[in-house]
Amino acid sequence: MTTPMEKIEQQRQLWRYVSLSDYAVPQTTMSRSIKGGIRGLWQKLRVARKKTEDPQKPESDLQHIPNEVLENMAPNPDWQLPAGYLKTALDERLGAKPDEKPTFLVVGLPQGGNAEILTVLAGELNWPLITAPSTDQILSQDLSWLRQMENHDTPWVVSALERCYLRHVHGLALVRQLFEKINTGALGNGIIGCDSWALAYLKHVLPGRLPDTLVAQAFDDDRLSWWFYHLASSRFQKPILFRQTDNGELVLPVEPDHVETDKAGPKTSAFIDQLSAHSRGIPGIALCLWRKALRKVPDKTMTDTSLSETPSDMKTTLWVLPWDKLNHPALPSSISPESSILLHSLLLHNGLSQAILAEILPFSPNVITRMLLVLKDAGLIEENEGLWQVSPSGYPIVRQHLNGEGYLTDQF
Amino acid sequence: MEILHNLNQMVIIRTIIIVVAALLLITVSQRTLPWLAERFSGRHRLYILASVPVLRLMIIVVAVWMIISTIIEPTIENLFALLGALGLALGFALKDYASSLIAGIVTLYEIPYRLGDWVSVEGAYGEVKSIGMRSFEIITPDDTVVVIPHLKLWDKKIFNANDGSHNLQCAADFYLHPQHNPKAVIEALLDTALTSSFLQVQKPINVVASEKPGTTQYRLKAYPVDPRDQFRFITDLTVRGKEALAGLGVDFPTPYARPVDP
Repeated sequence: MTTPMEKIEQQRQLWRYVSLSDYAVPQTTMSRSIKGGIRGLWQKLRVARKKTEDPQKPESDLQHIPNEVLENMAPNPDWQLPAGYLKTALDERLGAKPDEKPTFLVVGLPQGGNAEILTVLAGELNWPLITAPSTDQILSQDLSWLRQMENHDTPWVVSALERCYLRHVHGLALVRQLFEKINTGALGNGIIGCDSWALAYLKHVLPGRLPDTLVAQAFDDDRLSWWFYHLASSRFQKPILFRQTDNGELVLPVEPDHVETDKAGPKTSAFIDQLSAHSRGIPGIALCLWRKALRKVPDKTMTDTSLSETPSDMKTTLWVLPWDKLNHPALPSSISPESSILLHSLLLHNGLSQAILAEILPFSPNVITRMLLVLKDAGLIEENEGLWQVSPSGYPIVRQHLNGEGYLTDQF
Repeated sequence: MEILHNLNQMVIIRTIIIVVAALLLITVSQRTLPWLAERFSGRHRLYILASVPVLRLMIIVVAVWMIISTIIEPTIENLFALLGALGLALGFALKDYASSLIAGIVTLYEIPYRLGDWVSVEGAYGEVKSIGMRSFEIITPDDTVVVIPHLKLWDKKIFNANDGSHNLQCAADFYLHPQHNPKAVIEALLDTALTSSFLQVQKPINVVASEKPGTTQYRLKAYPVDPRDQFRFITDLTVRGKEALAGLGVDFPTPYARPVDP
C-alpha cells in the first residue's frame, strides 16, 4: 500500500527508469471505465444542477494562447532532470555488477525525448557521444564506424540506434556487427538509446541476446497532473487554475502535491485521465495535446509580463477544452495500403528523409511525395529538419491503425 | 387427407410478401455486411464476411418455414409427404443443383472457404468474393470472376491459402548456377524478406534449397501483412532478392527460366 508521502515522491520522480517488464501503459481498465462512466454520468447530472457554482466559459468566448506564452505555460521538458534519474538508474545497475563492463539499452518511445536525454547525459558526464553513421556508411556496411566505440575509459553513448540501421537488404550489417561486438565484450561499457519501434524490429534482426534494458516509466494521470501543474507554476510563481470550458471543473488539482491527502481540494475532471490513456503515457504526446487544449479569455492581454505582474495571491485561470472537443487528427477515409507501409517505415526508424524513403520503399518517388502530402494534410506526419516523422497528435491513431492492420508494433 | 390450406388470395399474397421480404433482407445483408467489413481490418473483417452466408441461410430457413406453414397444414404426415415428393422431383430433374445446394449448407458447417479467403479449385486461384446457396465466386489476380458450384466440395481438392486468417504464406523462387556459396545466398535471401515493407515480421521466414538439373532452386517463404498484397510481396522479394544475389556475384542459369521437372 503506497502512503501519501511515497505517492508524492513517486510523482516527483517523473522520469522513473524501470526494466521492460515493469513498464505499465496507462489505460482505461474495466473498473476505470465503469468508474469513468458513473463519473461522467454524475458530471452530466451535476452540470445541470451546478451551473451557477463552477465558472464556465463558452468556447466561442475563448482564444488560443499565444505561442510565446504557451512556451512558458507548457514548456518543452528540461532533459537534465531525466538525465539525472537515468544516471542514478544506471549507477544502481552498475553497482550490482561491479566486475563487469556491461552495455545498457535505454528504450524510448516516440516523442519521449530519449535521444535528447542521452545526449544531455553524455555531455554532462563527458562520456563520448558516438555520432550516428551516415546513410552511405550504413548501406556500404562500413564497419570502420564501430572503431569510435573502442578504447574508451568511460562509457560511450549511442543516443539513437534507430539512426544506425535501415530496413534495406544492406542496411542491417552494421547494427548486427555492433551487437556481436557488444556480446563478446569487445566494446566495453556503453549506453545505447533505442526507439521502441526500432527495438521491436531489431529483435528479429540482431544476433544473440540483447543487453540489459531500461525504459522511462509511462506518465499516468497523477504524474501528468503534477508535471503540467509544475511546468506552469514554476515559471510564474503564482497559482494557476485550469478549468474545463464546458462545466468549469478543475482539470488539475489545486495542490497536486497533496494528492490523496485531505488537502487535495475539489475533485478534478476526467480530462487528464483520458489524456494519459490516449497518449499512452508518452510525455511529448501528452504535452502536445495539452497545449492544443489550453485557451484564454480574449479581453485579457496575456503576456509573460501581465502574468507576472498579477498580484501573487491572485489566482490566474486558464481554460481547457473538454476532451471530446479536442481536434484529433483522423486517418483519411481512403487510406491506402501504401500509406500504411510508409507510416510503419517512419515509425520503425523514428523518422526518415524523403530521399531515404525512396531508397527503402518499393514505391516511386512521385507516389511517396503524394502520400507524404496527404498524410501531412491529415495532420498525421510532420517534417522536422528534413526528417518526416509521425506527429505527436497523430501517433495514437496511427499506432492503433497499424496494430489493427497487423503490422509489427512496439510493446508499449 | 387434406395437405393444402385453401389456396385463396390471402395465402398467395402472404406467400409473395414472405418471399419478397426474404429476398430484400438477403440483398440488404449481402450488400451492407461486406461494405461494413471493408471498414474493419484484420480478423474483424473476416468475421463479418463469414457471417453473410450464415445470415442468409437463417433468413431462407425462416422464410421457407413460414411459407410451408402458410400453404399446408404443418403436421408430420403432411411434411413427410411434401418432402418425399420434393425429393423425388429433385433426385431426377435437378440432381446437380440440389447437390450444390446441400453442399452449400455443408460449407456453412465445415467452412472450407469464407469471404476473403484465397482459394484454388481446379486451377482457378483467387479471393472469395461472394458465397451463394449454389455456388461461390472468386476473383482471380487478373480480375476475372470465376463461379464455382459448391458440389466441388464432394470430390475435388480445395486449396485454401489462408483459411480465415491473415496468414498467407508466399514463396519466391530463385534459380542459381550450381557454383555458389549457399550460406551467403541463404543469408541474403533471409535479409531480403526481413527488409521487405510487406513482410509480417512476427511470422517465420524460411529458405528451402533443392537441386534441379543444371540449377539450384531456392524457395524463399514468408508471410505478407495483408494477404491482398501477396503478388506485390512476391514481386518485391523476387526483384530485391535477385539484386542482393547479383551483389554476391552469384550467376543465374541462362536463360533464367524454371526448368521442367523430370
